[in-house]
Amino acid sequence: MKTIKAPDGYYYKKDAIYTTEINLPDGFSVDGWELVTEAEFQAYQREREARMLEEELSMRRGYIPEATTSNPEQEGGEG
Amino acid sequence: MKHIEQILPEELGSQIVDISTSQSLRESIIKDATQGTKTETTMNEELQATVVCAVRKIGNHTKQLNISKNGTYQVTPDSGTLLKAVDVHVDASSSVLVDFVKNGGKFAYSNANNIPIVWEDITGNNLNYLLIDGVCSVEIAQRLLNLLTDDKNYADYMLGVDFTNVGSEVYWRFPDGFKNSKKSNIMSNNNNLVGAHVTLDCNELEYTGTLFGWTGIKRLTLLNTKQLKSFYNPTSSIAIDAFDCDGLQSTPYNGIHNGTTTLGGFINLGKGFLQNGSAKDHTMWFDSDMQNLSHDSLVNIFNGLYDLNLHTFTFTNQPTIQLGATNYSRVSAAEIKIATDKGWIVTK
Repeated sequence: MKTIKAPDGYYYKKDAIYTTEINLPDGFSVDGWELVTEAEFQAYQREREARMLEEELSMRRGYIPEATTSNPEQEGGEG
Repeated sequence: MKHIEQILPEELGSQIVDISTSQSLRESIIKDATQGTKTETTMNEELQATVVCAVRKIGNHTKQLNISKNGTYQVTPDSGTLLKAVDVHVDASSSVLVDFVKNGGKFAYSNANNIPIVWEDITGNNLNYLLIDGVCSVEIAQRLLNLLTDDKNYADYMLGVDFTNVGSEVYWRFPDGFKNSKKSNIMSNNNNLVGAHVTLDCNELEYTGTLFGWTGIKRLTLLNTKQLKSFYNPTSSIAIDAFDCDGLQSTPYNGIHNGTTTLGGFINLGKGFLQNGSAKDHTMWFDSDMQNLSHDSLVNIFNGLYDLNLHTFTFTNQPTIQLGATNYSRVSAAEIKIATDKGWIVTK
């Protein structure tokens, strides 16, 4: 196992994963991970939290028996 | 007189449509399946209130239940708990409401705005909101599913199925029709399944949606399930021995909700992952949810993961566990190594 730490004020990013520390299996490298600033990470976090809140509200709305519309294709999207 | 119209598809073959158990129908339906003929029968109007529900699968088709032009046509089970196997086809040409009534109370209904006039033709459409209002048995629910889901893409929102009194071993097998389905959301209401081992046999269902409000489950076995959107527990923490995840092609979306402290892990998670799955599909997120997991739970998660080295291929996106800072601080490097030795990336 190899542990890689980002410099202070930076995050490693790969797709939607942001982290300051990566533990890699033997034979793996940080290729494919990019260094981004903490500000970029914070912006991502705000957007993600808003999306998760909306998903939770969506599920609760769907729970109302009188509700008549739904589109799981839209609900099952981002993780 | 009310008319019950029985259409017998050719695929019926020699299969018998069993109406013999219905005490309320005075006439029998002549079954001439070999010729694929349409047969009609009638019943007396005064017997309408005791007509037994029409839920039955015939051959490779699910029998349709259509709705009368004049609004709700009530199909009422008898005083027992099981729906009888009678197929009812009520002529309809407009959008109305489907009701299922038990002992005078509606226990299931669906807004007909989302139901095509002929249910046999809903392939590719979304059947929204089969609402089961917390009083029907699993048996009835599965019969309803048989009615609604054969050869369809997915049924959405089956609510309030009450598993509470079905014992410690709950086995929910989706009907064969789900084999050709793609998705189903399951949102059950307040099912406090203390100590139960729940097995969802999804019969090759690609996607199982939210399990809403399921509490107290001891273990959840996912058979033939390729995706689990989330295990959503909005009101309290849960303690669960484990999820059996052999067939999942991606990580459970949204994981388990906040508050969960005790978790036995996701057994064999990664075994079913696809070589070219996306980074999102291959990442298990604990950083925003599930920050209350105990140390032992985190170790259980590592121990339960599938050894990715056993795959014969190299992943485009290597599966990853995103712990988040709080969980990360609870485990040691040696414990993280349990996961990395299995080929998983573990991030803070």
